[in-house]
Formats: sequence, structure tokens, C-alpha cells
Amino acid sequence: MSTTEATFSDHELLEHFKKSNDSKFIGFLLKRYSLMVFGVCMKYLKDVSISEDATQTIFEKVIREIGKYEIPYFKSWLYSVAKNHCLMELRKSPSKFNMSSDDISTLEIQSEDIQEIEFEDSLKEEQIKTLRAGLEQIKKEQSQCLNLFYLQHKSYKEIEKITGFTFREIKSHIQNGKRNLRIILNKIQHDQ
Amino acid sequence: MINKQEIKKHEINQQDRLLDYLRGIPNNEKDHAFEKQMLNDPFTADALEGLYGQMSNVQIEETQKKLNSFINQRIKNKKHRKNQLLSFPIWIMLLSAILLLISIAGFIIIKLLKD
Repeated sequence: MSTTEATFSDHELLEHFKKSNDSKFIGFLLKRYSLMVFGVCMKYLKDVSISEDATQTIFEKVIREIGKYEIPYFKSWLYSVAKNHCLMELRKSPSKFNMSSDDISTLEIQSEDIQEIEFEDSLKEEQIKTLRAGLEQIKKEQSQCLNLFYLQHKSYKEIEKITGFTFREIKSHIQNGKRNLRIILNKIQHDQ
Repeated sequence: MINKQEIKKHEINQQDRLLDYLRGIPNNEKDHAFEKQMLNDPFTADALEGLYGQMSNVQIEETQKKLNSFINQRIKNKKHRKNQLLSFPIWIMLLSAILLLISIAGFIIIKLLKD
């Protein structure tokens, strides 16, 4: 990528493509996310060679179709193209990936947006009090991870060392903990 | 509120941040910031989940080079095909169109005469 294009936002690259119809701008956009698309394929398809092929197929699809749509946010669009392609591959031959239809349905549900609590960077004393009250009511491992991550600003690696949880477990505890904490805090605030 | 400049910076640098994180160069503050951002970014979160602990740093970088090379080639092919079509002499295209019209007209006339 030349120096000039490297400083364009995704939106600017798309606009340049629309005006000039020069595919090089799509090339710059795809290279900006090439590894991330591959990573998404690896998450769902779990095989390097199959994921490389899938990534290339996704790139082909993007190059073919990008001119057809109005795309307000390229990153979100690319993510949904990549994820849908992977889920389609899983549905086509679940046994190839050692998955059942239920497993695939679970993956589809997990992919949906889930309402979670937002942790602001600076919390007032009263908010911290309410938060701590809520943390006491959720599962111990979720509470522990949320406390270490949000209140003590520890990284996952530090949390791994402190708790012995794996990277995936920490991520799961934080996500599930946020969701459960939201439910409890809504109840606390409602009761007050 | 996040401004446009921050969004632009984020878009340009996020894959590099992902690579830095995967390389495991210790920096707790940067790691924490990246992990926090990732919780609101399902694309990066899925990509990290797919790559973390699955491949060595060398393999990841080689894969990225391979994929970027594929993109370059594909874009080049697309441009080449477009140029080929555009560079096809206009007179040949016109002549082909005229011959096609004459053939269709001839076919219609013959059919009408038979009827």
C-alpha cells in the first residue's frame, strides 16, 4: 500500500473506488483486514488450509459484489460476509467439521448481538458501590474476572497468571459476567 | 464521543494491533486496552479467537503475505480483463454487431417468405 492510501479511512477508500472504479482501492481495503478474515474462518472452520481457501473465496465475493451495494460501514459488512460464508460451509457439511446441526445453531445464536453492561472508564463512588453489590451476586469466576479486568485493569495474561483460567475461559467469564451483571444491576436499580 | 480521526486511526492500525497482541510482546497496559476494545468489536474478537494459540507468529505472518499476494493478483487480473475488453478494437465490435443484426434480419425475412 502506498503512503497516501495507507492514511485513508475505510470510507474514503470506498468513496475513491466509487468515483474512479479503480479496484486497487478495494485491494487496499481487503489487505487491511486480510488476517482478520482468515482469523474468523479459523474460528469457525478450525483448519488452516480450509480457512485459507475460504478467505480467498470471501475476497472473490467482495471484489465481485462491492460495487452493487451502498456500504455505510465496510468493516461490519466484511465481517458479516465472512461469518455467513463460514456458517454456510458448516451447514453444507457439518460432519466434515465434526459438528452437529445443534452445534451450528449454537454458533449462530452466539453471533447475535447480546445486550451487555457497559463499564465506563471513570465510575462514581455510588456506582462502584452498586457494582460491587452486583458482583457478589454472580458466579465467583465471573465476578473474579470482571473485578480483575475492569476494576483492577489487568490484562488477560495477568488474569491467567492470577487465576489459572485459560484465555478462552477468561473471555467467556467476562462476557457472561457482564450479561448477568446487567440483569442483576437492573433489578437492584429497580428495587431502589 | 469518538471522532472521525480516531475511527480512521483505529481502522488503519487494528490489524497491526492484533498482530502485536498475538506476538505476545509483554505490555499489560496496551494488552488491556486492546482486550477492552475487543469486547465491543466482534470481528476482532472472532479473529483473535481463531488465531490465538493456533499458529506460530511466523506462520501467521506467512499466511498474511500469502493472502495479500492473492489479493494483489486478483486485482491485477480484474484490471487486465477490464483493459482487454476496453482495448478490443471498436471497429471489430461494430462489425460484429452489424453482422449479427444482418443475420437476425435475414433469418426473419426467410421465415416470413416461407410463411
